[in-house]
Amino acid sequence: MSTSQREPNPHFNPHAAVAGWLLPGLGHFILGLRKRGIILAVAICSLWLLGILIGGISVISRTDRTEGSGESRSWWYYGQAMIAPSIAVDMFRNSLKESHADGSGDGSLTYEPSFGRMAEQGTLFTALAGMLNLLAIIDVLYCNPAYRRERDSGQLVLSSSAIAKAATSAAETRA
Amino acid sequence: MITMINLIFALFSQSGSTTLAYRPFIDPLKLDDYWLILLVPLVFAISLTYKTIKTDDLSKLPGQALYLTAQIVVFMILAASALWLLGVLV
Repeated sequence: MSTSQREPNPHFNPHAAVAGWLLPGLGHFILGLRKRGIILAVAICSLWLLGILIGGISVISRTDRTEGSGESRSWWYYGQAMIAPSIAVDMFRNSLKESHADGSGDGSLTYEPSFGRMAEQGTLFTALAGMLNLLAIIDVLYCNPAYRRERDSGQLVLSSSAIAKAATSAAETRA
Repeated sequence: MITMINLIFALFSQSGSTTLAYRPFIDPLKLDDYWLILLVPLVFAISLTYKTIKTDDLSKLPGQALYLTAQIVVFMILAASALWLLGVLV
């Protein structure tokens, strides 16, 4: 909302928040805010996929340490994990690493770790996608779906200034 | 424009640069020389998500998202220029 007004009677929607964590935009979609849900899904998933495309799957890692510096990436992982598929990617990457380490794989299922700028960019893209999804989750967690649907369909045409004026005139009438 | 063309060529010429064949989403891209251009899609995605949540009227969304993207990029260039100038002068 671009207004400073709070929307009336916000509901607590934990199921939508969980859905939004599983797939960005799904929380908005299941509450009937389909257009917003699709736009959020495209924007956040594109950013997340672009991050993995740039840096490879090694950018999503809970346990790896940056080469040389000894700096843990775990803080980035908390941001990345705000999108549930990041956890699946980390598990997949771990399975590739373990199959290569114990020799059970055919040798072709390894991955090339990213370093330098590409590692930075990939980590930044995926972590920012996660943080943006957290913003979307918080937005959908406390919202009034009926009010939002009316607003999106154009039935609710009162602007914030009109609402403020109406509230002021009602207060003056009461006084 | 030439940089964008070079970036597209770099995206499609990954296979010869690694020991194994390039596999999208598994292996990293070799775009170290073009990392600054990646700022634009990053900022646009941030702007689009923020405006999708914040805006009342979705018909104005593309314009607002592009305007916010331009604002962020311009202010980052100004900040970088100021820091560069500071580094030169001090």
